Amino acid sequence: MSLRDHEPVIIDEFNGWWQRGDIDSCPLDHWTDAINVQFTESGFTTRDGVGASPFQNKSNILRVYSYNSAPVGEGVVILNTSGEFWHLYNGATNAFKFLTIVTATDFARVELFERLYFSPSTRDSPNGLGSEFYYVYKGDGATAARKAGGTAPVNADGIMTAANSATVGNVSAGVHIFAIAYITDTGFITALGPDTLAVLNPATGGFKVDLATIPKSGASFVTDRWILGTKAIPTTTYNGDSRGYEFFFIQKIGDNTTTSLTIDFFDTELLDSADNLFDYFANPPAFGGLSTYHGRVIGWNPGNAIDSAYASDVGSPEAFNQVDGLIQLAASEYGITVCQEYRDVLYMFRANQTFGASDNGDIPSNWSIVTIDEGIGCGKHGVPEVGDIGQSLNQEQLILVNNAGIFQFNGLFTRPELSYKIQDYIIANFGFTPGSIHAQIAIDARVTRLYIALPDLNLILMGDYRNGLSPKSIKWTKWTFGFEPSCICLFTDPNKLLIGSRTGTDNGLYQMISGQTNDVLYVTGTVKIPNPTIVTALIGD
Amino acid sequence: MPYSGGNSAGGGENINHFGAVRVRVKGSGLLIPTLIGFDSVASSVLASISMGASPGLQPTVLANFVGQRVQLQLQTTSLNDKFDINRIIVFAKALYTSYPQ
Repeated sequence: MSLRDHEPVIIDEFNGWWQRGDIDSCPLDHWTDAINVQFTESGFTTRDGVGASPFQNKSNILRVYSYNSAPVGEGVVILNTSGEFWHLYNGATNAFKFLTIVTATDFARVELFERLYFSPSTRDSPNGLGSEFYYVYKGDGATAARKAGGTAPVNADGIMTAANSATVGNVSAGVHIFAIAYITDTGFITALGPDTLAVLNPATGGFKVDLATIPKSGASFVTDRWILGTKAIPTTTYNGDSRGYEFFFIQKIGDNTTTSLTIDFFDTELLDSADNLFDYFANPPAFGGLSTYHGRVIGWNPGNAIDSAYASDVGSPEAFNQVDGLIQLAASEYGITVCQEYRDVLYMFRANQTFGASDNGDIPSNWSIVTIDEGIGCGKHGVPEVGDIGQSLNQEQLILVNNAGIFQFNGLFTRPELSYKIQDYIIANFGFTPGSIHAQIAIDARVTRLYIALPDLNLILMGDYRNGLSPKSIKWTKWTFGFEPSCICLFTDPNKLLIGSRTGTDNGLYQMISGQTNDVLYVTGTVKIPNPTIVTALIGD
Repeated sequence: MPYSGGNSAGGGENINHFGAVRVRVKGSGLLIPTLIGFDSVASSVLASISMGASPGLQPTVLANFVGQRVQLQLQTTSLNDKFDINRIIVFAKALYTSYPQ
């Protein structure tokens, strides 16, 4: 019905923010601006407020991840600008600093066997932190993180000797060389040692072997040891190079205390070669990022090497073979930004390129690598975490953030891009190099929202896909706060959006609180949600 | 292409009189509507809408804005203001076909 001869222009569909083309291009059911609103089934409302996170607050937060540790349950791990790594859990009760690396400004992590494997890096580059290492934290809130892996026995641990036993046995006649490898409490087997190996020259044959002064580690995390040895080497061909022969696993010592032992074996029992122990990183270097693929940990950009990745052995997240585990791409300017498994393929992204590597059953260095796209890639932290479990798939596809927008990826980048409606904003504001934008994406599949923290733009981009995960159906809006949203993660179920802030008066760790009508900041206190606003499209006659 | 450009219900681009805004809104605090003309050259802040949890009506705010097309801005600016909107109606009437040449 008209009102005073005026005809109604009715807007009862609200499909979010539009910034593509000029204002005249905005459809009537979209807005030319949308700040601090969220969507309901048939309308929109002021966004929920933020308040203190459920955890003990820590200031100046650079990165936050959820972490479900076996010993203490659900919590988060954070890195602050002082280089302190904290494990926050049990509500506001517990906070444990498990490492400090003052030069770290970012980190990556994977959770395996309910342990946290993590790697310090820098916020502005895709590579790992130089001269630093890949770490493991057991998540117990009491034991500091340590470098993953472990060093081989050295002479100071004990110079082992081997002698023919007086007891009849099965050891073949000839030269036998014996060594020790340590086993850590996280299952890593070190390279063999000590520096001087035990050479039994010769075994007389038909007797056991007595080992004495077996090395024992001074490290508290070494729990067991392996005795390694060669098969019989004919005395006539033994050349004195004690490390030049193939070693085999002989017997496990289930402690780090025993120093003498009598062993017995047939040469034909020695089937499991230990040769690859020579090739592992004793302590793997810091990687620029971490992910998993076919039971392996994938770490990329170790130190200053920006175009290589290493795959650990299957089921051994600390065993990175320096030769067999290397996956090498051709040299580039910016290096690998993300590696991500999808449909059984390991996709390796640069900022503007995409490659696919397939596990062909051979060693990783022999995996075939196929170029997928030479124009579009993925930014650092541009692969989402869906929910709080560190996985990335939603609706059987990946949502990726790069300098060209927000894309759906199903093995190919689909066009139009998911950010089609706001593409002008993306192109104008998303830089190319890893340090030019620090976008981080998270997806809450339960409430069908994706969040993209854009600290350099001082906002979070929220996309509501309740009507479908497609460029046409998704609804965009901007969220701003009285602090810089530097990083985000989703925690527990129902998912809470946690927002970390690294700088400014009110830096700290926050959460979105459903139904809260204001923002409660750590220093400033209660403040209004910054002017929730929508501006409609142009309405004509 | 999911959309084509320039489809925001433009018509003959007559000069219109925008006489009122009606909003189905619940919430708390004051909702501030503003009409904004082409290129933000002209704008008009309308009377604020007092929001309630159960308003029982769709408030109408009178306006007196003349232009070819207009954008409606809805905004809150105070602590604890909150809106929940699911319908917007802008009342318009064509006055002239063109500005003087």
